[in-house]
Amino acid sequence: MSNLCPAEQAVAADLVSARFRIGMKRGYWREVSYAFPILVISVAAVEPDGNSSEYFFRFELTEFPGTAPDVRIWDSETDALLAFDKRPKGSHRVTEAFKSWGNETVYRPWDRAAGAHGNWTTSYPDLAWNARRDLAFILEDLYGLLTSNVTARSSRQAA
Amino acid sequence: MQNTEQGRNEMEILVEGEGLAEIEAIRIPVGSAASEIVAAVAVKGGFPVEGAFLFVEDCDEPIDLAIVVVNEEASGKVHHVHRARKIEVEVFYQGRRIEKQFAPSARIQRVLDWAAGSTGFRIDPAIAPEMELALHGQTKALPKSAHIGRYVRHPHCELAFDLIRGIVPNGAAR
Repeated sequence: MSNLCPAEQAVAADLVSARFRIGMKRGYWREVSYAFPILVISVAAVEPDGNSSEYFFRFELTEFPGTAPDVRIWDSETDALLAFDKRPKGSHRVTEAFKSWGNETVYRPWDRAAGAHGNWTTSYPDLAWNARRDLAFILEDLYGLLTSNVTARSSRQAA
Repeated sequence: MQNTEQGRNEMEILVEGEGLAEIEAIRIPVGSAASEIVAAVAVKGGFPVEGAFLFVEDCDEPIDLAIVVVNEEASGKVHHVHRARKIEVEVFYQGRRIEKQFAPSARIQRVLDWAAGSTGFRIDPAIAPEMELALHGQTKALPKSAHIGRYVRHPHCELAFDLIRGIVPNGAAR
């Protein structure tokens, strides 16, 4: 019988799921460290100048998946919140997601603190967290935001 | 490459295709012909293998089903199985419409780049990163890594999108 708590079991299942592994295999994200309830994952990015980069995210996963993850953009070298001037650049959608705000988590409806304010669960059901979501759901959204500069470059090169 | 309980070597192949809601991983024996991928996806997608094509992601032409799948080459690539060889794509934006043919293995990102670019709607680079594609008449942004073939079921070979501005959640409810 497993000694893991239900949340730890759920995280373990997510980390070996096909959706999570496929993201790693495609180079969209990689697991950096994990000691329940803290998981650090790196997500690939494209900067406004077209160069590839990556950003780290710290997931706090207590009571996962019944409770939404608390997700913060992280500095892996200092093991602290990433300084504002080092955060992703790009469109308003990108800067808004990674802005500095009261709870200092990623400002998206699936985040524990962000999702709990502004009636976001009902306002943005496609992005809100629920217990049927998985870690790949969040990572796909982060990857989409962090690589959105690709579309700007396509448009600029073509213009 | 892994040894299975049956004692034979297998390799994992990432696939999308007709009838599949999202990307999946399948396992086929090492040394298999590409037709093995088609057979596995056809079972999952619920269609006959006859007449089905196998593509590599974002490649316009299907690959020869007789070739042997080499693990080192297939690993990390996403394959696509579909009975349509081409899909007629149309995109709508602010009362205008553009159209182009794509293979079913084209990613949403590739269609989006075309639609936002100079041969498309010439979207201002400042707002281009905020643009998304939704199925025509809907508002939910589609995942950019998804292959367009997952939204088309043979014998249909047409697909319509709307170019939309992605949601930027803010503190106030919409």
